[in-house]
Amino acid sequence: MPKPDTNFQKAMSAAYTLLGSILVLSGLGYYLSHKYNNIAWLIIFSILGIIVGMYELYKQIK
Amino acid sequence: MYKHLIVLSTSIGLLFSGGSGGSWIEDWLYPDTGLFFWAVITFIIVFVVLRWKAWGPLMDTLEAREKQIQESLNKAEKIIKDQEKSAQDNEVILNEARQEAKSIIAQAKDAGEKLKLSLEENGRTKYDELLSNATEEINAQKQKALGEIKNMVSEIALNASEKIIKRNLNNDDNKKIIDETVEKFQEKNQ
Amino acid sequence: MAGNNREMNGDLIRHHVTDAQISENSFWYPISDFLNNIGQKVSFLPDWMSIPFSKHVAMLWVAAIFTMGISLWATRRYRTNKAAQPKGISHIYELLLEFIKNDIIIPNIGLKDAKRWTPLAASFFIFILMCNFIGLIPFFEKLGGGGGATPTGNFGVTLGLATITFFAIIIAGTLKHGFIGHWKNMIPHGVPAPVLIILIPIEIIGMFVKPMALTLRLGANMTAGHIGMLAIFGLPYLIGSQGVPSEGLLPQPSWGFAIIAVMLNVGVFFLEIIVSLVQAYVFTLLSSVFIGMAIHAEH
Repeated sequence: MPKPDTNFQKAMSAAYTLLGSILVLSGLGYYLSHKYNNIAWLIIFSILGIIVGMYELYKQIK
Repeated sequence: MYKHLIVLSTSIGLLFSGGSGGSWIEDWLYPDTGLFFWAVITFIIVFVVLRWKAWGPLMDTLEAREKQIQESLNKAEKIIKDQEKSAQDNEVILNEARQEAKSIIAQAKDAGEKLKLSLEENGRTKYDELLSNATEEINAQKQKALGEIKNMVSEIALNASEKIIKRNLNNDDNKKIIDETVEKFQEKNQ
Repeated sequence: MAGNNREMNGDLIRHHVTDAQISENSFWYPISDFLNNIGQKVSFLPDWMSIPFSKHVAMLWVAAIFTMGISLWATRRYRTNKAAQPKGISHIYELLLEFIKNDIIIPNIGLKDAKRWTPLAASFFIFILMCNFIGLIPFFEKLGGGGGATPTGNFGVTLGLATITFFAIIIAGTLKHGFIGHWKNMIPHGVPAPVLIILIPIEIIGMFVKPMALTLRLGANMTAGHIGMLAIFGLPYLIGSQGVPSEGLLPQPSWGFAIIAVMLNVGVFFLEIIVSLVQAYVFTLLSSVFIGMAIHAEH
């Protein structure tokens, strides 16, 4: 039986986690900025999404 | 900048907006709690049923099959090892047999050599014996013949001398003289 | 008038991708009526907690019944005979389980816990795959009371599935490291205290974000295909109707473009089949990776 390609799996999961966390937190920011009519929510949450995504990426690649 | 972003976001929202109240994308994005509960319940039911009835037996079967395959492989390996070992044993036995045959041949050769030697030795001794026997016999015969000849000669001499000088001589004196003569002769001859 | 046109498009998409109540002439109406009546009787629950029967719930049930039916039928031989040989559809099930065990679970979770988590991953895979495929069968539009219905294209459903993953991660960590140990593992080691103050909130957000990412990805992917197909089918109408159609008249499609659209959509349909498989695989893989991360947390 050929050995499963774990590098590919790792890359896939890391990429999806990065993208997902950015999208999830930006979406939350979008919702909040609409609700309170303040664009700051979107900006803060987008940056938070990038940070969390990068952190999760680091944790999975490590 | 600030205003531009608001305009951008609202225009994106407008692009997707539907007719009756809000954009379809909001309808689609905000999860419905009722559906959420149904999804969880349905999935748990599916999971429990499959775990119990489908995956459990399937995993057991696969595991059993894997075990069986492993056992068969082990067995085959063992048989191959045994065969190798028996082949080695055969080789050893064959070598031993060869060695033995060689040694037997060598022994046979040795024995032959020895036999030949002993035969030669025997022949010589017998010959020597025969020779010495023959020599002794010859000597004995010779002695005997000499004795006879001596007797014969003495008798002949006695007879002749008796005939020649019968009258005047005493027998005893004559005999003494003749014996002396014969002895002298014998001494000479010896 | 232009606004009217846009309204129509928006409603069309809404009709195809969002949940709806069961209509009265649907196959499901008696069940829906019965369940909603029960729901009204136990109305002491708050509104958001009520679980009404809708189009996507119906599709979810169809998918669940199909999944269970095929799985039970395929594995019927194994329940009675442990040394059974695969036959027909059982081959696919053996292949699927072996694949999930050897290619997803063992590299990510490890051999020791493989037996515990393989059934969950296999259930995820087969159930999501079935939900995705259900949405591709046009026939089910009639059962669902109008409109296409991919249960996994709805964020409520994918959020539900991701919640299972969320709790599975916690259960996996708790079983491995103990209840307190699992939460202790969340705190990264070997960093100075001031950094910890920043990292701990990020860890906590990450804990929720990871399943949420699963939710978003699966739902968006399954919906995107439908919207794409819808857009391609809308193309002949857009090109065919010269200007804005007058009130009360159906827009006339361009038949030449309709043929192209059908050909394109056949291609998109096959693409959708691949996307369905890949998304089911990715959901399973990511769930396994997250569970594995909880089990193999740094000590």
